[in-house]
Amino acid sequence: MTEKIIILFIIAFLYFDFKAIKKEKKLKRIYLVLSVPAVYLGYSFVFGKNLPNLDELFYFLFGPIAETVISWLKV
Amino acid sequence: MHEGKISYWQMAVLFQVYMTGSALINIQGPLLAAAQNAAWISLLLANLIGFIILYLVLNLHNQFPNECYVNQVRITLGNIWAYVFILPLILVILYITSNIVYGMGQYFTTSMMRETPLFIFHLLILLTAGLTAKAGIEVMARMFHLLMYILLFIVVIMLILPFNVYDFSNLLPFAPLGFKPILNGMYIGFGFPYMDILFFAMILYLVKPKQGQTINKWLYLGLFINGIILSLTIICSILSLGSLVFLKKFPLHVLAQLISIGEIIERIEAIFGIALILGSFMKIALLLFILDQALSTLLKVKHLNFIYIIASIVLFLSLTMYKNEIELGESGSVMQTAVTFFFGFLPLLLVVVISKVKKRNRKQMA
Repeated sequence: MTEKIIILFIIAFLYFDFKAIKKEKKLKRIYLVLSVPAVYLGYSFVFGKNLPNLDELFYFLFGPIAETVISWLKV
Repeated sequence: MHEGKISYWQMAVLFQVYMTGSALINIQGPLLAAAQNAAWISLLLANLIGFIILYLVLNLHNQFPNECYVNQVRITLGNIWAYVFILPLILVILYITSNIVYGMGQYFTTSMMRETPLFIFHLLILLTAGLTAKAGIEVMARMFHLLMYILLFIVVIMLILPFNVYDFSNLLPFAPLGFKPILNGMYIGFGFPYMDILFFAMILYLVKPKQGQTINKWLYLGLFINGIILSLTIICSILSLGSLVFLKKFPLHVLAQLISIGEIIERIEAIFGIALILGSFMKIALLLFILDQALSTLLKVKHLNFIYIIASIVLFLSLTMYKNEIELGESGSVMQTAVTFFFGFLPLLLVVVISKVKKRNRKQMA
């Protein structure tokens, strides 16, 4: 847990491009929006929560179609 | 829009490393599991579909040579449809990039460095790829040139050195279960790596145009070479291991383990690890660059500002999406093709058809 939180801080420090955010207001807003999935997924990672994720969204949308195709193709 | 422009040859090199990079390592396992002895035919058929995708992409590129795919959609269908088509596509690219990162991490934690936590590999490769992507397309074009030669050299060496264990009778029986497994393999190959050609349309406009020449022949040739290299790796895996190979996730790794020449050259699978890192690193760097390109063009802001935050999202996605490599395998073999078909291929086809109709109407009006 502690090592995951430390990693999280390192990532936040390394990955957030502070120079870029300072330049424009529009960039600040976009960064804020993009931070939402980053924080959500970071929370899921650090606390080991099994929260809904992108693969589940895709499975919800196309899972049945994909599985039908695969079941037809499998011998 | 980027100021940096690269030559035809550099773009062809980038296309080659983009298409062959991680596929060289990751595609054999799923294809061999699905199509068995006929996996190389599946790959060549998927490669054929790749030519259709490339034809569509180049069709748009020739109509709008100075625009990336986002702007091509915007010009053809308008701003709202650009958002409707590109936002899901960005999610798809995030998903595929995370899959590649996870695949690389899984290889190391299951075969080479079992005690090291997964996130160490993910963090390091994304950090390196993010910094490389941030340096820009020209730096990547120059840097990947040499890395491509190293990657291809390692692969050629790994295919030639185990010649003493090759048994050509392993290639038979050809397609013992009929045509359906071949189609299954083709289905997998369509989702990865050949639908990735569409994502490359985001950076195709960065090529420096030359009078009387087009990029088309370079990319078609690159795709052809890609098909030959990938099918050769599959054939060599079958030749060496026979039916055992259908159970292996990384057949080239096993092929490298088999190399034994005069008790001097043995156990060179670490070299395979280097090839895997190189291939994955180049592909991830290009995908991060493509994601930044797509997002910044869509939102009409300056490029290269989102690479780090995108890399952090990819990092967390790769760490939280799957619990084990079986889930990744199912995702790659079942879901990836469906997702890329509906969010990538169909919109591309629609944009090409509408742009053609509009062009014809304009000609008739004139």
